[in-house]
Amino acid sequence: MRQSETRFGPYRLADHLTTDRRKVRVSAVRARLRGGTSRRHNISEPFFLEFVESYFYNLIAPDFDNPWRNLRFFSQHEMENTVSTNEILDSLQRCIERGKVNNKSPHPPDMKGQDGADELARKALDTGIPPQDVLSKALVIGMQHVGERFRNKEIFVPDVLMSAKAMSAAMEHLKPFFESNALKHRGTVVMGTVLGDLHDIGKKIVSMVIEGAGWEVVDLGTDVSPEKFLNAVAQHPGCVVGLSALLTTTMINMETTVRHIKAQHPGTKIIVGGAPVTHDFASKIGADGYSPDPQGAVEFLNTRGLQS
Amino acid sequence: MIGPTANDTYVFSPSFSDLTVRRELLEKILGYKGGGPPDHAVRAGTPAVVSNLIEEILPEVPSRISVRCGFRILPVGSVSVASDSLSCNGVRFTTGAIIAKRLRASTTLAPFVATIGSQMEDWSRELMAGGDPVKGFIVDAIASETVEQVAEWLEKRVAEHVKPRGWNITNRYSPGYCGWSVAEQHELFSLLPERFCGVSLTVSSLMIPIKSVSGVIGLGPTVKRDASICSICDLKDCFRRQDDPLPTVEEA
Repeated sequence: MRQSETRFGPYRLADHLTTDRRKVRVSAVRARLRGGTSRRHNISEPFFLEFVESYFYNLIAPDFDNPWRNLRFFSQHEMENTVSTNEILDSLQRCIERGKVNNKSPHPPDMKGQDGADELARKALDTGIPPQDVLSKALVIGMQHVGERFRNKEIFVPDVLMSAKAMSAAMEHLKPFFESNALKHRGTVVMGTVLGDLHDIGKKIVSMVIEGAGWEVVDLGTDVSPEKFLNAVAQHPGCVVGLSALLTTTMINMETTVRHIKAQHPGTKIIVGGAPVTHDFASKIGADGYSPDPQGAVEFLNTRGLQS
Repeated sequence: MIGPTANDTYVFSPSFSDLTVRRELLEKILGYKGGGPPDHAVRAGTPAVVSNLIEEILPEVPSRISVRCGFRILPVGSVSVASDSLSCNGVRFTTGAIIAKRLRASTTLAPFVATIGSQMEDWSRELMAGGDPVKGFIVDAIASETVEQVAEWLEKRVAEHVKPRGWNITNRYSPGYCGWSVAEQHELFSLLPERFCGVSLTVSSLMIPIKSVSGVIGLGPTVKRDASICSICDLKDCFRRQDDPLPTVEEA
């Protein structure tokens, strides 16, 4: 059952109240529910109030002045569904953070035999949780925590990759929604290791974390010429460009690439990274951003990479 | 007594069993403390999945590497070292002061190359592209450590080689570290035979196969090898940086 539908008939409380009156009624219900009800249902008060508020307008309320009668319309089943929705999203987020791919994966040992990101993403969608919520309330938050823990040196590259693998398993279920445009990426990032450099792994790790943050990544691979970057920018208007280099001899090719892109697509934002790259170097060559770690790249994208 | 000549080059093909690729060091390189309890307190030790993958990959390494390594001993008198540079056989290197200082007492130098071939990097790339990035990354890390251990093994051969002359060796120093520009790989390779040990350079000084190490070792009666060179290196975030010194040639 979708949240906008109800089994309680065609009436919506909101249709029968003016804006001011709605405020008063919601306030009255909240005041009278505070305390006893949340304890009766063995759920936390903040959650219960949020629950009432989110459903209030969509349900018929035969007696405005008797919130207890209204409440009976929220069947136990309905409440369980809501609790279940949050539980699924929480579990899915946890699977991303811990790198639990599916119920067959042995990692992490303390989650052995439990559903992983693969099953929980499917379950979430089957339960009726909107794909956007699956993405933003579980997957993106999960990967954000992973990026932060990596930055703080609490976890390491293999852990990030295990999370990325779990993320990827969940994203498979969201693919149809992206294809039908029911779900949109935050934007597109064209990634590549610059001309003369064949190092791939660092760029791949950053790409995976960026995808986990809800961005589409177009990976041009390694040894990418400025022309190839220009073609990709032309094919993906509004994209952000990410340049990687691992050698001092190849990072100078970043400058050429930045110059070409800025000359033909002045509005394109460019972020650079790689072992020898520094903030000063990035500024000097005219790049818009630099990050020493994947989470920094995500933060750049989410602040400066979004299209206005 | 060894009599180094301009053509005095030596090439070896050690087997994997000759190398010291230790699981604990691999775990440390991957970022973990190593040897801790498996997972669900990730900070406490290496996740079981990582340890298991290392155990799974290591037996496959011997069949996926083609080890070649070698060195040349440059003629005595062909090397002169200044405060931040050195010249060998008319080739000038701007090594930076850190390296030049440690090579200053050298009677001559041994440029060297070590490689494990390209199979491990191909394997890693396939795994990364085929949906197993964790294994792909660990294969890459093991490949990097293996080629470092080949270079370590080669250092021992160089030390043995010059010992009869009463010479010692310095640590090995490579372009790209301690202020020595990686662009000078071309000058370094000019001191060695064409495609020495099967390794070539791209225009941007990248060695092909990628899993290769090159550099120079100082030789002479008064030079010395430090147990650890991490303290002199300016790469503070280097994945190989260790608080504990790496084992010396004698200890390894």
